[in-house]
Amino acid sequence: MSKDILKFQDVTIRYAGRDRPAVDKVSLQVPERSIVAIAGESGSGKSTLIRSVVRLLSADGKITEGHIVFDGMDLACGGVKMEQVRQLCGTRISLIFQDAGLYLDSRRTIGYQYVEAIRSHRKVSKKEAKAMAIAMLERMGLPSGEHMMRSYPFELSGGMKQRVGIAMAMTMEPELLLADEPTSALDVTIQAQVVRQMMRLRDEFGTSIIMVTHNMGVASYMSDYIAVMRQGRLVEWGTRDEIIESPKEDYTRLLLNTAPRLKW
Amino acid sequence: MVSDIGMTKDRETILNMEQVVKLFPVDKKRRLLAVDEVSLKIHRGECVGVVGESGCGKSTLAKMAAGMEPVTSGRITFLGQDITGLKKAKWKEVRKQMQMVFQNPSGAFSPRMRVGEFLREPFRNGMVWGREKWSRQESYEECVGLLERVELDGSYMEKFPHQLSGGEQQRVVIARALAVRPSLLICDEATSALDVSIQAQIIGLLKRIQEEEQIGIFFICHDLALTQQFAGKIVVMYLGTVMEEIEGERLTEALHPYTRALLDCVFSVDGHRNRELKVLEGEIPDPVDRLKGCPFVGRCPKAGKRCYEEKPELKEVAKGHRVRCVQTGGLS
Ligand SMILES: Nc1ncnc2c1ncn2[C@@H]1O[C@H](COP(=O)(O)OP(=O)(O)OP(=O)(O)O)[C@@H](O)[C@H]1O
Ligand SMILES: Nc1ncnc2c1ncn2[C@@H]1O[C@H](COP(=O)(O)OP(=O)(O)OP(=O)(O)O)[C@@H](O)[C@H]1O
Ligand SMILES: [Mg+2]
Ligand SMILES: [Mg+2]
Repeated sequence: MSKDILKFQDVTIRYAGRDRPAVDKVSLQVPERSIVAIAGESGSGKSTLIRSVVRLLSADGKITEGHIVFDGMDLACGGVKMEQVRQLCGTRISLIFQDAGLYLDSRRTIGYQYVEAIRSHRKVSKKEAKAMAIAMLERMGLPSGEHMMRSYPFELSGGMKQRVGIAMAMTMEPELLLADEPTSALDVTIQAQVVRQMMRLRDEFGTSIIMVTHNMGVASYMSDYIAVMRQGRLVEWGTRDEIIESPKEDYTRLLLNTAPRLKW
Repeated sequence: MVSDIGMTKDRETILNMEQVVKLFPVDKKRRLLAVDEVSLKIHRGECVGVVGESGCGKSTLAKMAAGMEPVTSGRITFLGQDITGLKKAKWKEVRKQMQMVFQNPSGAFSPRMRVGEFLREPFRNGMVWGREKWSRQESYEECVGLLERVELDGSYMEKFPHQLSGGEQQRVVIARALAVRPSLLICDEATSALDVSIQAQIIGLLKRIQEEEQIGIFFICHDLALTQQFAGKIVVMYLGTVMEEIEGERLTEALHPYTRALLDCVFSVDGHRNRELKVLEGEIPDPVDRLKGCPFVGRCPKAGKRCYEEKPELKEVAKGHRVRCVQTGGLS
């Protein structure tokens, strides 16, 4: 049996002023070196769940119950200090936001932000950091890494900013990558390229990945396990084959049946 | 949609973009050609889908249509009126008939405005097509109705944008665009943050409005299967250029090697997971330092000598089907 890199145990998360919890007693385990896809209804708590791992919930969100265990540490409130979570974040754990582009600083070039981000976690020279950044940007299928580095966020398309976010999260070769809809803003050829790079990160560095995605085709292609959420609850969990080939819950079947398919 | 090509001739043209070009300055010497002589027409009751590589100019094209980005050259008419260099003050009237839902919904909100206020704005500002005055009660009811149409409910009226999930924000923005009762709706990745089930419902809603109210829809989307289902016509762009135009239903019969590459890259739910992942090989072209010849030449498996020398014309190969390729389009 392989070890689990991350464990959610009965995690409940509430936002102030709402009677229903956003995440309701969710338990799931992410085995080392595995890729877990989380699919499910819009508003079902997927972003809330993965952001809670690094305590990036908005101020009115609280983990009210349960444990989030990473390498023996409980990351839920009541567990380790915020300071420790911050240290993990960006080194051992990375997060790619839904709308990653919005998290870029609009007043600074991509190059400046990227180099700063690398140097705040690693002792490398500016030049080395720049070379690392350019290499990763080009692996994401971005034309001319040099030109990207000189650009301001407003000069880039939505998908370009998204890829900058993905590249920044991947450069640190984290042990755990949390990715919220990483490829939904990308066209299919670039999506394929990013999927390949994410799988390569797992194969080469053993990175475990939790990925929220609405694209059932991507989930089916890359994941080892699939979680399906609805209204804060985990409705179904299983290996990729169990979920894709013999789903047990009606809601899972609905998602699989309504996924758009090309008519040949 | 009933794709009755003969019919479109008689239908009113809502949006007509002719030879539209957009250049962005990069530095003192160089400029980036984001949109290169694109012509595009949308008729009443028609949905035109635009697909293509990230960064190929889709959003820029949409922003030019919506007057949010000036054109470098070319002409845009909307309901017969030339709007190419239209003054800001005149846009208010145009807005009553043209609405857009942009990529990244959170950009549309101001953080301290509740969803209710955001939705009621068009009713208060006399933006709703065909009717100036609404009482508080009436506009409230309209807004709740709109929320229900996008699978949300009245309780969302009181919320702030940061309290919504990505997909909920997107649906609120769609609801507000529909409130105006526009003749043209521009959707830039408007459904990409939605789960497939809600997405199907929203597309169903848009289809109904398109047919009942005969609005035109400019639909930018990365999901080829969804675009195929929804759009009567699909325009495929690469590096600022239209490479192929084809009826939505016939998408899989596309001829251009770039469109073929797109089709090959689609992850299918039923696909086999050991299938080799196809990605487009070859150097990704830089929109700043463009080479002559076909924009796709550096990555095209079919490229021949001619392709490096001249940019092909967009040629009609069948009714409603045009291709910009000397290898596959020009000859048949
Ligand atoms: N700050 C907040 N205050 C109150 N409610 C919130 C807050 N943030 C999110 N919510 C609510 O919590 C629920 C879960 O939100 P979350 O963003 O986790 O959903 P999601 O599954 O990621 O959805 P999507 O697929 O649309 O992005 C939603 O119903 C949302 O309205
Ligand atoms: N304000 C700007 N200044 C300079 N360059 C810009 C600006 N806006 C867009 N660009 C460039 O124009 C090109 C087209 O961008 P656009 O946003 O239209 O692409 P897109 O097709 O919508 O891509 P995506 O699918 O990623 O959203 C890109 O190369 C981008 O970097
Ligand atoms: Mg989310
Ligand atoms: Mg765009």
